Amino acid sequence: MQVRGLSVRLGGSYVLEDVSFDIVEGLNLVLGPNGAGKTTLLRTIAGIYKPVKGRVDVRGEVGYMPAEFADAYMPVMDVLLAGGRRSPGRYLAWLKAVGLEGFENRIFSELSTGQKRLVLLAKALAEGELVLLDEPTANLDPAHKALIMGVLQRVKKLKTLVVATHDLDLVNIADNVILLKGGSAIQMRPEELNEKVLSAAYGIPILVVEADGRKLFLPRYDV
Amino acid sequence: MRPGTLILISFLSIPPLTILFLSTGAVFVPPDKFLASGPYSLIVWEIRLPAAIAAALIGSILAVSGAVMQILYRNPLLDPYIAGTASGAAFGALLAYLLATAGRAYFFLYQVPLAFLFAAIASAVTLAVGRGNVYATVIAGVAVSYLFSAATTIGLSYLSSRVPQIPPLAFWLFGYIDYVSYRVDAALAAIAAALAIAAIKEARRMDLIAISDEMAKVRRIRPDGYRLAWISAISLSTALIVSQVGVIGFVGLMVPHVARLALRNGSATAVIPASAALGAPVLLASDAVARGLLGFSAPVTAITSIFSAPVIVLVLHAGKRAER
Ligand SMILES: Nc1ncnc2c1ncn2[C@@H]1O[C@H](COP(=O)(O)OP(=O)(O)OP(=O)(O)O)[C@@H](O)[C@H]1O
Ligand SMILES: [Mg+2]
Repeated sequence: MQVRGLSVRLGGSYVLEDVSFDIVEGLNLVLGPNGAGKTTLLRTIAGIYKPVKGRVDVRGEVGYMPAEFADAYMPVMDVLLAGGRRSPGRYLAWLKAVGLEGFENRIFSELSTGQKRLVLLAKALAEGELVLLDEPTANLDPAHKALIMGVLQRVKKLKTLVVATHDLDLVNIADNVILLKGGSAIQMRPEELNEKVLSAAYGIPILVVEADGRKLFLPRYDV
Repeated sequence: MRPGTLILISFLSIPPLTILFLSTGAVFVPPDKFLASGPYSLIVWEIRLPAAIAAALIGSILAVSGAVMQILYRNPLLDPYIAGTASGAAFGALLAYLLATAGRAYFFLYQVPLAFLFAAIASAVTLAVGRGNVYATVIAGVAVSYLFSAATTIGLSYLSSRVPQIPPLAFWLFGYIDYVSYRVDAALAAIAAALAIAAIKEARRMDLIAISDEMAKVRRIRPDGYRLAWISAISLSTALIVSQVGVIGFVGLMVPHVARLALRNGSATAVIPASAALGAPVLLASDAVARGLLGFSAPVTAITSIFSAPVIVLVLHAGKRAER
């Protein structure tokens, strides 16, 4: 799957300009500072926005998890079945896969933020082969974040994931990185994401430290 | 409570409420006289029964309309009354009398279309000014309602001397379910059935819009167009209701909340069928009170507002608690 020469215009100005990259099997990470166009890119891949130029070649159904959603007062099962796409059994299997077995009768609005995200993650995974996730680890405590990262690491063998995030820890489980800045994109392997590239992308020095067999990313705050 | 239980309770309460309704009014008719010949049978079968049927059907239509508006706009305080839809319809319906005095014939051909036009304009203005904010929308709705009610009052002051058969102000502002024909019942039944069936069929898609516009768009639903289509359908239903019985408030606001509280579930899948069923006995009972259970007759919105005030307070209180 691939994106070629993609240009997207919103409110009169170009948000993405001539963006090209490949979507590999596994986890594709979309990085970039606030306003870089990550959400716009996901929406364009999902078909919400029409590009003015270029094309998106994707196969299969798309599952989508937005960064923001309403606090719907309804059981988790009704959230999963909303839109009427798949059988209840399939949703329940994915609910179990994200660690929320037995939550189907709980009220969605009465769950914690992390649990709500997990429910919408299960829904997106049940509905698509290509699954687009917008900031899946935002506002999560370390335990919930570890849970979601564990789920992503396991399901990336079954689904193609495209994840927009500011959470650099996800680099450790990524197979492909798309770095957005100033409307254009650079594709690279996760190993290539070093201090120089990151510091240039975000405009502040970011230290990369290896510990416990993985990379830690440490922005400097005193500049 | 399960939706099926609430629906069953609603249906079971309709026959006793209908008997109560048929007995109640300017003259009390004991149920054993319903089948006797003479003036009683005329009152019961030609005046009260069509009104009872209308009350039940209107209750159902307004409750489904309120539920759909609340779900699609994620606003617990919306219904065709709060949004100004009904006041707009009343003004449009009154305007038809004005055209009639100007000598244009076929009054009935353009009364509902005119009511629809102004119902749609009023709703659109309220929702556009409110811009998705719960309280801004309610305030806009109050302003729009007042504007159209004032225009209706002024129009009626002008018209009542020229058109003696025009219904009084209380009818236009607060509703009277009287003098309804079986023909009108048939039209209301068609609307009630069409609205309930369409809303139940669409419930899963409405739930998706209630969760996220973005997720809906991925499923090729255009949320704004979808909302507009429903507001048009609701404006049309409200136009027909208001041109026949005047403005009936609060049923559409209160019934979905009662359903939500009883079912502990706010999904369209649960609330819409329950509201369709529960709206009927609620307005039937309200109108039985309005038409004489108190010993005199009062407009029906006066009664529904008394029932609804506690529900609104409860909703606002629950909302405040959720924000903390
Ligand atoms: N509907 C819109 N109309 C006009 N401009 C828009 C619209 N949506 C987004 N933009 C602009 O496009 C740019 C990219 O927005 P986008 O939401 O894609 O960024 P992002 O990378 O997801 O940012 P964040 O990290 O803050 O979520 C921003 O400058 C934003 O102001
Ligand atoms: Mg974003």
